[in-house]
Formats: sequence, C-alpha cells, structure tokens
Amino acid sequence: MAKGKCGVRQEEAEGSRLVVAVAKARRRVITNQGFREAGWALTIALLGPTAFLVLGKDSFAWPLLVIFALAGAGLAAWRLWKRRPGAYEISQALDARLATADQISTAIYFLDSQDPVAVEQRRRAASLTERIDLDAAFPFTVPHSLYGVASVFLLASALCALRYFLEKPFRVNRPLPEVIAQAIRHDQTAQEKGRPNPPQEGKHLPEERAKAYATDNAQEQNPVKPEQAKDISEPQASGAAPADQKSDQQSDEQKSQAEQQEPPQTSSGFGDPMQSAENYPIQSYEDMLERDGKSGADKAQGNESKNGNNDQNGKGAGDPDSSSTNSSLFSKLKEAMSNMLSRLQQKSAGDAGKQQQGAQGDQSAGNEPKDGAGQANSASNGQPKAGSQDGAEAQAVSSDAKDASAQKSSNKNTGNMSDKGSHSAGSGAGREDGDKQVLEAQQQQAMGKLSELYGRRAANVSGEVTVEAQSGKQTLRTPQSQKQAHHADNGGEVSRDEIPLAYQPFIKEYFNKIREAKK
Amino acid sequence: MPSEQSLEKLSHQIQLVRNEIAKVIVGHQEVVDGVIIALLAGGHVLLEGVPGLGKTTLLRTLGRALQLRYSRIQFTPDLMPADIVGSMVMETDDRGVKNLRFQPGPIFSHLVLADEINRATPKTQSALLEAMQERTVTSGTVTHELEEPFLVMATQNPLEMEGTYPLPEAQLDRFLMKILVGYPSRAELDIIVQRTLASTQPQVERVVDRDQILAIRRAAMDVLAAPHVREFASHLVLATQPEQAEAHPLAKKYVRYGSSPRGAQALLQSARVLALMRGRWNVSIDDLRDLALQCLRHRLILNFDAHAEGKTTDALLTEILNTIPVTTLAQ
Repeated sequence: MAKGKCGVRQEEAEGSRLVVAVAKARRRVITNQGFREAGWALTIALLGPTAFLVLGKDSFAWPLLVIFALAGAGLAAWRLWKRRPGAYEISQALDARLATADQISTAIYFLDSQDPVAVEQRRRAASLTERIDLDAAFPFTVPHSLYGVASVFLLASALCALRYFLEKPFRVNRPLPEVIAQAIRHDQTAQEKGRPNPPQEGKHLPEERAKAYATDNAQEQNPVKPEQAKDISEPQASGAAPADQKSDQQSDEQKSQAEQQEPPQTSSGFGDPMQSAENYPIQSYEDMLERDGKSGADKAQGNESKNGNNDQNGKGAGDPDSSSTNSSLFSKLKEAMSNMLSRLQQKSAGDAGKQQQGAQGDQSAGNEPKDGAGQANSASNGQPKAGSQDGAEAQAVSSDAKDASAQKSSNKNTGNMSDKGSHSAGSGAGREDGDKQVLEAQQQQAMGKLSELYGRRAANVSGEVTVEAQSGKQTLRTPQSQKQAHHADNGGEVSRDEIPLAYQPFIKEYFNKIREAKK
Repeated sequence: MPSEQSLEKLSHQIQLVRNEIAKVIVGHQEVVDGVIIALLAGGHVLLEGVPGLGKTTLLRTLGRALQLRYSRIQFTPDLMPADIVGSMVMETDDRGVKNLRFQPGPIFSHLVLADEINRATPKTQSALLEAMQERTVTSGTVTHELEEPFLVMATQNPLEMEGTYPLPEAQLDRFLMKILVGYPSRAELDIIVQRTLASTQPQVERVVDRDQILAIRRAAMDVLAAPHVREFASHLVLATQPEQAEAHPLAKKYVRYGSSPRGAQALLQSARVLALMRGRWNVSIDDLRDLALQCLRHRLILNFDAHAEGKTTDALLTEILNTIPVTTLAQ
C-alpha cells in the first residue's frame, strides 16, 4: 500500500514535471504571440494618425484616433485569445522542434491515463523534459508585425514631411490631396512665370493691369452694354469698313506677321499680347476678356474665385500691392461675361458660317475679304443681324462711330492675330477653339447619323444572287453521312486507363524511349 | 506491466534477430526490418525484386533464427489450391476402416515463402486469401485455424511478365508491406563474394522462440499513438484518394485508385512495432514517414497519365508526404 502511494506520488511528480515544462514553453509562445499581436495593434493604431494626415482635420475627427487605437487593441486581444495554444499543441511543437519523436505530446495527451504503458511512457517523457532547452525551442523572436509598425510609421513621417513641405507652417486642416493639387497648380503657375519673358514686360505688367482695371472701373461707372459694343464693332465684322481702315488693317497684319517672325518675342506665348496690349487701351469687355483670357488658366477650369484671385495675384509677378477687391470684382465680371459669351457662342455656332458667307457676299462690291480673326470675331459676336446687314446699312452708322470702330478694329485685329498665334488662352471666353470643338462634335454626330443610315440601308439590301455550280460528281450529304462506326461496335473498346497488364512493360519502355529521345 | 527493463529487453530481442539475419544477408537492412515488422505486426510481406537478391535466403534465415516452422511453396501455373492448403486423403486405421483425413498443406507453417507468387493462376492465388486474412483454412466443411505467428512472404519477379498472373488488387491489399529488393552496393557485394568463397558457412542460432515473438507482438499492441499521429496517418491515406476533397493534386492527376483504409491500419500497426524497435512506447510521425512507402506503395493504382509520364507510386507518395500538415504551431 505504501508502495502504491509512493508510486502514485512519483507518477504525480513526473506528471507535474511534464506539465510545468510544457506550461513554461506555453508562456514563451504566448509571450511571442503577444509581441506579435501588439505589433499589429500598434500598426492599426498608427493607421489613425496616418489617415488623419491624409484627410486633414476637416474630414477626420479627433475621436477617430481613439477609435483606431481601441480597434487595434481589441483586435489584438481577440486574436491573442483565439490563437492561444493549448498544452497539447505546445507539446507537439516541442516535439517537432526538439526532435523528441512525439514523446512529450503523447505523454501530455495520456496524462490522466493510469495504463501501465502510459505511465511508463510519461516517465520517459518527464525524464526527457529535464534535458530539453526551452530557450532553444521557443526563443524570444522579433515579431514580423514590427515591419508593419515601421512601415506605417515611415508612411506617417513621410506624410508629415510632405505636409510641412507643401505648407510651411505645419497645418492639418485641409485634405492632403487638395494641398497637393494646389501645390501643383502653384508649380504650373511658377513655370509659366519662369518662361523666357523680357524683364521689361514683367515690369510693365502691373502698370498694364492697372490700366486695364482703370478702364474696367471706368466702364463700370459708365457701363457699355455688350450689345452696344458689338454694334460698335459691327461695321468691322460685317466687312463694311472703309478703305483707310483696310489699309490700317493690312499694316497691322504685316506688323503682326513681322512680330511672329521675330523669334525671341513671338516664341513666348505671353510676350506679344502684353506688348500689343500696351499699344491700345481696353475699349470693350471683349478686349478685356481676351487679354485676361491669355493668362487665366484657372478661369477655364472653373476653380473657386479664391483660387482665381490667388492666381491673379500670382500672375502679378511681384505685384502684391494690387487691390484684392478690384481683382475679385474683375474676376466676377470676367466670369459673368465669359458665361454669357459662351452661351451666345453655342447658340450662334451653327449660324456663324452662314453669317460669314452672307457678309462676304455683301462685300462683293469691291471689299476685300477679311482676315480669319475678323470673321471669327463676327461669328463670336453672334448677332444674326450682322449676317444680314449689308454694307450700306453699316455705313448708315454715324461717322464718329465708324472712326472709332475702325480704330478699334485695327487694334483688335492685331490683338486677335496675336491671340491666335499664342494659343495661350485659359478661359473659354477668350478662346475661340471652343467653336472648333463644337463643330467637330456636330460633324461627328452627323457622321454617326450618316453611318447609321448607311447601315440601315445595307441591312435592307435585297436582290438576286446567281450561283454557278460546276458539272461533275455530286455527293449527297446527309446528317448520317458524317457518322462513322465506333470501335466499340466491333467489340474493341479500350478504356484509356485500362492497359492490359501484358502490354504495360512495352508501353513503359516505349515512353521511356520517347523521354530519352527528348533528352 | 511494461517497464524500462521490459522495453529494453524487447528491443534487445529484436536486435538479436537482426544480428542473426545479418550473418547471412548482407545489407538490405530495410528489407530485413520490414520482414521483422511484418512478422511482429501480424501482417504479410510482398518482396519484389529480380532473382538472386536473397529473398528466399532471407526468409529461410528468419525461420532459423526465430525457431519457427518454415515452408516454401514454389508457385507455378499448374499449382492447385489443394497443393497449398492441403487436401483430404484416404486413410485406413488399425481396424481396417477407411477414413478421410485432412492432410495439411505447406501453408500450415509459421513462415510461408510463396516464391514467385505471380506465376500461379488466380484460383491458386486466391487460396491464400483466406489464410492471409482470416488465418484459417477451410477444407470441405471443416475450418482449420493457422497457428500464430503466421507470416506469408511472397516474392515476385518484375521482369518476366509473360505467363504470369499479376496479383489482383484484393490480394495485394492483404499484404501489410511491399518491399522492393534492390541490388547490393559495391561494399556489400564484396562481402557477399567473400562469404561465398569462405570454406565455412555462417551458422544461424535460434535466438528468439515463438513465445517471445508473441510477447513482443502483444507489447507492440500496447504502444501508444497520440491523436495527432493518428490524424497524420488518416490525412496521408485520404490524400492518396483522388475522389476525396483532401486529395493531393498529384493524386487527383495521376492516381486511379487510392489507398484503402486498410492502408492506414497497416501504417499504424507497422509504426507501433517500429517504435518498439526504436525503444519507445509511443508512435511518432517520423515512424509513419519511414514506413509510408512500404505500407502504401502497393495500394495505389496509377492511371495511364502516370504511366505515360513515368511517375511511380514512390515518387507520388514522397511528394504527398512532404505536404501533409503536422501541426500549425510546429510549422
């Protein structure tokens, strides 16, 4: 009896030794898993500030950072709890890592068994645990999740640096894409400014702007309706200009051609308009728009007025003293005018060709054909009267108005020529390329309709077809003529997988020969 | 009650048998161990190899070393079942009364060598089925039990296929192991030649008797197998069955019929003996890996694609063994 008690105590001691060793290994494994899950939790928690740096304070509320951190911690705890290994799994891992031939795991599984074989096996496993090195089996390792932490941390640092680089006082109010887009626009503006312009142009630009604004203000005080402005320019558009105007116009054309042939000045898209702008004052909204449209890239893109103002200020190229109220008012006026003109252009785009043809027909009494710019202007004015109004009616306008319009048209034609040559208009109001696009779209639409019509006609083509058959032997083909007798009908069906055993060596030899031949 | 001493004793006895066989058989340790394992696990073994490799000598040596009855049957096409299991013979007693008496055939031995088993007709081959599986022989209406241990060691020649009757799958499945007997190495061949030229032949002593063999067999039945070890065997067998969801891709591609459940049984029974031979009371996954080829290679039937591409069951099983998951934590 005493022996039995002693034996039971010894067995219990051996079992406890085994359990203690496995529990120690389990603690090491769980510690490693804890480090790994903590790394993932930290990664998730760091994603919050990263998202905050991307989205900005306006789109990302501060409490979301706490939610990210809590989500990471919760997920890590849940994964750690779910993946915690049991003693049997740990013992299997111990056996696998220490090459103990599954003795420890078997002993752990049969821990409660009192079978003599199980007891003996447990005793051997317990003696084995005294010799094993748990540090070698389960060393503390650097978790792979630290790579995730490092990468997210690097990303957040890069975002911080990017934000600081883009807006020097570090602010996280606006979303990062918006900041980047604004920076890109600034870069483009800076590049445009950095093009080879004569230094005197940059100096004269503010003065010119001031002049334009002054004219603008004057026109605001004494507003001239667009219709009146168009009426003023109608004689030029309708081709009823007198001969002295034609000579002036020709001389302007020659001037503009000479200017285009001069490489240093005409190569830049901004030099000519600025120089030509110095030559004549702004006399209508259209002129003003054409000048400003050359550099107003933001206006065409429909940006906010704030950005537009910034661009205008930026375009001032060292003109920070210009009043922001004037510029904002000016930009609003430009936008309104551009909208109105674009609508008018869309309406009268289809009639523009007719107007030009009518005007040229009316000029058949000795008037020379006008240049493309003038025609485009007449088309852009978009008044139906201009097409039907003949030269006599145009001469009925007062002579003062004629002189003024002649002077204007000469200057304006020069300006238009330079505009077309530059192709730098930023707004739809100042450019006339929109007309081409609309026309192309209409042409493509018409082509589509035509092709559709052709297609329909082709589908309905009917007629007679004559097929000539050569004389010779004719074979009647029936569905049964293609059928052939199966091999199975003759009792010779052989399954693909069933090779007669007697033939298998020959087949093996055959394929071996094929493989050797390939080698 | 097993103890450390008993385990050492059992291992020592098995080692004695191996040593005695090694006196005659040079090399072929895997073959020798396979035969011993099959004997101790209560199974049968099929040896495949060209003539002259010592298959018959091995079994004869084993019979001598184990002090067991040994018989040899040379299978020929005209061999009849009665030549194997025995037949009823007329016998006259002292009073002159004639009686029919069952004359046991050569199968009534502890160790039966069925030499070139594929040369007999299927009818004769099937006479072995009952004896191998049920350990009984039925003659007329009388069923005779075979004495334990009973081991059928069949040999077949893979070269000469003409005039042969390859074993059907049902009979192949009854063999615990199929062991391929290869050529000896140069060193082994030198020793073989040296022993042939020697004037005296090695004498094999009887080191283990029948009772000790049965004791070792009973001890092997007590060897523990943990669940993860059993699951490994199950996964391995299921991986060879192409219609199973757990089938290995290679099995789906090249195997026509996978291993039967008897394959898993054979694997675990053999692994128990191997664990005992290695001085353990538990089966390990390494034991299963070491015996997987011998226990499963004859239970897989490859399809035409495998034959056409030169795939062998050993290559497929090796690939499958390398992909069977053991434990998540260990990985």
